[in-house]
Amino acid sequence: MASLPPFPVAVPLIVAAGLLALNGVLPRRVVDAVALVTGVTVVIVAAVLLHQAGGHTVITWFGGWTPQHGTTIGVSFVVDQIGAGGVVLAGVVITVALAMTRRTVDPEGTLVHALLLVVLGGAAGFCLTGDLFNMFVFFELMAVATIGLAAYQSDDLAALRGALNFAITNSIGAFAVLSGIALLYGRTGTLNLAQIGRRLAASGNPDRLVIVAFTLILVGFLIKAAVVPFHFWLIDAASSAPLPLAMVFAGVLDLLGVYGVARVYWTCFGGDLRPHAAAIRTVLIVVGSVSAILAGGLSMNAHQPRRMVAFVMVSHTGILLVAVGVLSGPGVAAFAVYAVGDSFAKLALLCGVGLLGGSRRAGWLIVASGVALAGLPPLATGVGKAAIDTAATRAGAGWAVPILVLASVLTGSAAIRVGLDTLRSASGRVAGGGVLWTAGGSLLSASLAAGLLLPGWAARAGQRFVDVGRYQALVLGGGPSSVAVGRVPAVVGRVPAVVGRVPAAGLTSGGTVVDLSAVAVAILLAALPDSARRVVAGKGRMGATLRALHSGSIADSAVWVTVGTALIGVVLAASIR
Amino acid sequence: MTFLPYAVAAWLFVIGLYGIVTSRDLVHQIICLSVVQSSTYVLLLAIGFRTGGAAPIFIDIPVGRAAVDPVVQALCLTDVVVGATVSALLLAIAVQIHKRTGSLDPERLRESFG
Repeated sequence: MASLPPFPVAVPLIVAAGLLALNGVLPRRVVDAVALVTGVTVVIVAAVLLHQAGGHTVITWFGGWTPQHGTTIGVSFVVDQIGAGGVVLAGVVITVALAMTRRTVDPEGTLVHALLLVVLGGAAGFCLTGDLFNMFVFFELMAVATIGLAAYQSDDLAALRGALNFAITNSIGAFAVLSGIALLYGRTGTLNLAQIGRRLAASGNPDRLVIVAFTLILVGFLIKAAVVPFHFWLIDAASSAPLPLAMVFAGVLDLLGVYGVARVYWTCFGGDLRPHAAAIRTVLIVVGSVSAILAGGLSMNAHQPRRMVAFVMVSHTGILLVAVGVLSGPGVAAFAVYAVGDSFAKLALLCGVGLLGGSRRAGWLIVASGVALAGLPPLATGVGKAAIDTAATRAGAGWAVPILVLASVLTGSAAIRVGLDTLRSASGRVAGGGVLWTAGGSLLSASLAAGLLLPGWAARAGQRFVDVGRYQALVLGGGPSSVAVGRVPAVVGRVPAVVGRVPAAGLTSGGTVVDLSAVAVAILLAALPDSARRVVAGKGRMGATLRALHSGSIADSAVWVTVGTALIGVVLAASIR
Repeated sequence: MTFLPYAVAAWLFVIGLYGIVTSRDLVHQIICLSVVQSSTYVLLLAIGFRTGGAAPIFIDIPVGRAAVDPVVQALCLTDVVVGATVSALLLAIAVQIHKRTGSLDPERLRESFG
């Protein structure tokens, strides 16, 4: 079954090309069906891959160019559980987005379908690849397709402006990543993640070049994940984009940016920068916490529902970054659980916002999504957030826990508030919202199922994800504990039996209490009259200043990218030297 | 081994960013983005360069002759493709914006939304 990994990448791309070639020939109903079937097929194949990866990591060397004497000469896909899980999630999100296209954008033409399938192909490749340059290319593939989607409604000036800001800021991020990759290639002579990791670790203490490369790659992925202060483009793009694209932002791009940070840190830098893990941990957790709390506050303050959702995205991406930033197996496990629950909750929220316009059902859906965002326990958001709190505390970053709890209270209550307003002003049923309503309901149910089923699985997957020695040994050959393969010695001799008694990334009784009280506070806060909320949300001068910053200027965005990069670079360089 | 190409790459990255921040014209801004991208070309080629190395076409050069690194050239080519795609998209968006507003000034675009 070594031929399976390329499938989730190749099939959507081929179908997308086919749909474009037959643009105008095929009836719309056929296009809808073909695209949906493709999405579902990718989900199924990725699920099979996920199952296989549970037994052993699946590795495919394209063209049969396997490593010779521990030196890679080809390009590989290396499928572990977290990677395959990412493809399943991306497949589900894109399938939902495809199902929404008929109701929400342009009922004719096949362009949106094709672009969404290209995003899916790129996302799958990004999750599965074992090659650093591949990661760059697949992320750019996703970015270009999403820029096209963002500018799709070309008569809408706000959408065009959002697309422009998105494209320019993201390209700066892409060039930062590429420069980092170039520096790493110059140092190690390879682009394979496992081999880079081994050679860096073998070269002794990290020097300035490695730190510059790490900073560039980190910042590039953070720009794509859209955390503060790199988030300005997302607010603009996500609040003016067509609904399916907003779903792609919420459920695919943000998550994959954070996933990229985790993957590159563990495979490439995990060995070399391990002595400096504390500094990197602090940087990541601080950036994540600031995003979570700042965007959480702004979400309560937002003028329109779609802008509110955009701030919710930034806030929760910050929470995800904290999970990864803990730099431990349980952290990655918590990331996986929270990512699933969170993207389902955000998608359900978007379904509800898409239904806006008087329907009571929209109000209930938005309230339910808000409760999910605040982290109601058996839902995956609640379980995942409790796991993040536990992992952060155990890694000595307990100070971040109250910030994360407060952030989810703020975002949850912002959503619940919009839902309550909708319920109050609702004037009956709106025709044609059936798809959105069904999708929203199913997503929340899926979040519940994920919260119940995922924790044990995620704990093992997370443990395996951070086991760098095992990853390198599997990709490059040579037993995990053998020392010299070729010229480069294997770094990490420690290979624990993974599947043993790993505690599930689930709920403790303390976590349940915290989660439940967060939800209660969120509901209370949402039910408060405006005058009382104003105090909490800080609608004073500071709120106004912060809002004015988000007026969508590309120059501002670029300045903040520069400032953020400089800050992260200086902090890392100072603490690592 | 000289540091000049690396200095040029860093300079191009920074001056391109400066252009993006200060630009008052969308087309100019998009070209500044291309300048940022040029820095990655210079960086990649500098990393693969070997003094006295031949072009990496191994048909008509003797075995053992030094050659520059073909991998970075392949990366560079991919980079060019990505850059061309993004520039084309961006210019198309700029054309649309000009059609709607009759202006290419990013600040006026911003003001029109407040």
